[in-house]
Amino acid sequence: MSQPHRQVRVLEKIQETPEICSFILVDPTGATLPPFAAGAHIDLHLGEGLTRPYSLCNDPREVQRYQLGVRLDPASRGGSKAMHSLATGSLLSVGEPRNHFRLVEGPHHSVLIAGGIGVTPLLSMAHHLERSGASFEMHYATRSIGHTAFRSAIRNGALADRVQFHHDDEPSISRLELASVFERGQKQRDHVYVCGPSGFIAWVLGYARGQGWSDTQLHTEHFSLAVASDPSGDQDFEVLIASTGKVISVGAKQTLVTALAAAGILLPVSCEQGVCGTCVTRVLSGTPDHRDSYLTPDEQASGTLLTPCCSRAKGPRLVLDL
Amino acid sequence: MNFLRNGWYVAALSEAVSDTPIKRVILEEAIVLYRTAGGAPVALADRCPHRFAPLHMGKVKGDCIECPYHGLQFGPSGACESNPHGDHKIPQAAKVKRFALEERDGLVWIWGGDADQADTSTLLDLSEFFGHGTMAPVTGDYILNAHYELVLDNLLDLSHAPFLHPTTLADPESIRTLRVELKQEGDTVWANHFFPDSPAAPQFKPFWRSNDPLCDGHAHMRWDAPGSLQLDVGVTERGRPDAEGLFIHMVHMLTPIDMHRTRYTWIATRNFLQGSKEVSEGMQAQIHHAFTCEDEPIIEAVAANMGTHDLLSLSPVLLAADASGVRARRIIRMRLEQQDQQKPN
Repeated sequence: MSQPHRQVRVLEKIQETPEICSFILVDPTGATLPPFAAGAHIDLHLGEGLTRPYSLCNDPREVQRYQLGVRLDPASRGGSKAMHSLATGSLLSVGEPRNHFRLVEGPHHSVLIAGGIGVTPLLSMAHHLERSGASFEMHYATRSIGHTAFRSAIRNGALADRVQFHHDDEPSISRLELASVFERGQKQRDHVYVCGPSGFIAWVLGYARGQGWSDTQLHTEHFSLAVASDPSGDQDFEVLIASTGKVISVGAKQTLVTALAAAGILLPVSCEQGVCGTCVTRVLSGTPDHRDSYLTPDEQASGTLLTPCCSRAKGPRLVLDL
Repeated sequence: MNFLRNGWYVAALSEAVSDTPIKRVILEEAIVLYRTAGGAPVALADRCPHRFAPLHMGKVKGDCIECPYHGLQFGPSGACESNPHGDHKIPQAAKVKRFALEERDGLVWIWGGDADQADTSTLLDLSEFFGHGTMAPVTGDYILNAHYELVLDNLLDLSHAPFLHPTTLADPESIRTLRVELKQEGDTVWANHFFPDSPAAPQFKPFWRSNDPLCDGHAHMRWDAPGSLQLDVGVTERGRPDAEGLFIHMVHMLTPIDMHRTRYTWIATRNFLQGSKEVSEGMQAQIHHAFTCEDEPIIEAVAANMGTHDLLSLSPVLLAADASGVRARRIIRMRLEQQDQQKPN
């Protein structure tokens, strides 16, 4: 069941920046290579059990070569070091192209945002979009001109006027301003693809979400965690606020926190699923129906604490120390 | 500085302790480890009481370690047993702190508190977990620049694996079916991860022989305070018991060096191809790669980004999979409070 490997030869190795090398890989017999779609990666088997995935950055229509970029991680004892020590002509074992970062097909505008070495899958996307005449723009942010891999290839090729460079440390060139990128975009229609260091991805996605962009329009190579719960058996109940004597009813489809908020009692919450313990509240009487994972089994059994973000009541009423 | 003192910490792999002394810093204390001529491991404070030379730079002489500077010799009890100078009288005060030490299951453990209070009944017995020595162990040992609780978070919440280890430890698709179960008995916490109907994880793929392209995967992590983790990770035919499939039993031992550094020692055993040196080497290399190239950079970057070891003080947006890490932290906090109350004033 393990993936078929194939041998490829390093046709060209280019020192793009002090830290990044690009490699052009070809079949040693000159045959065509398995096709890939924009955004795909291949696994490189580097010996001693070392396997690293690298995104392909060339035009997917080029059937006789794979191009990739590798950033040397100074802390690396493995993949990037092994790659950087390869010479032109070396043979390498690679897997089939795989794609966890696909373009959404359609007539919409696409926005590609790259940070550093994250440029690689977005470059293959840009080639594909450019060749198919699609509407797109690409932003490529790096520390400085000297740290910008593929810079001259981009500036001298078909993507020359489609890619905007942004640098942190070049006074004459602007940094990447997310406000201007996302202000121009159309939230309901455009698709945004982000790749780069995880902090960069988090920064871009955090900004976009804050501006009201939905996750259906935002794409990265990451997945998202879904938490399932079954609220179908939930019942109404009421809570009595010990300090004021006020009684607040909690609907079957409401959390305790939202019911309290509607009555003007705002409890601090963070995770909203009983993990972090931010909202823990003392229970003076009534039996809590614990739905959290924060409280220990002993604490839950004592019945004196609950997390109102997700927990409920087993009886008709709880008295809370609020 | 606030560490759980009353607990066992792994100081070294057994194989690292020999008649050539080594230095280990544990809970901010420098310790010299050596083996006597009889083969018994010894742990003493790594500082000669005379002129404070590090004893680990000295030599083992019989049962004693000899200070490299002026030749005082200290025995396994920490008392000076030989003074080559003057009338050879040994001053009463010439002794170094002794650490309670136990060697078991390929690991050298040190009690973090006073040697007289060492409680061997709380020391884990891993012999059954390791298949009583039949399971071809492979090992590793690193220092990470992060507080040990951040490493603990990494190990208790394995939902990071499909993202951080997509080619080594978890199939990227497995996140789709992942279910995590939190369990606590006493101060022991389990984070049981189930990956039903998933492709076999990359570490098992070459050995997984089945006509079914999918399998049931599991990765069950058990934590015992302060820093001992046992992982049972494996794949089995869908709907079949775990014991029928392939599995790796692995311990991850976390020992705080100080508030910013952690020694991470691991041993992995397996129930398949136990006689194959090639498989052992491949497994060692793969785990080594996953930890040093995938986990270590992110954990260290997280530690640097946080600027504090106190995760909860930063109000993180926690996800369901964080439950076990939060629980372990709460147990550590509760035990630290007990420890502070017991402290003589």
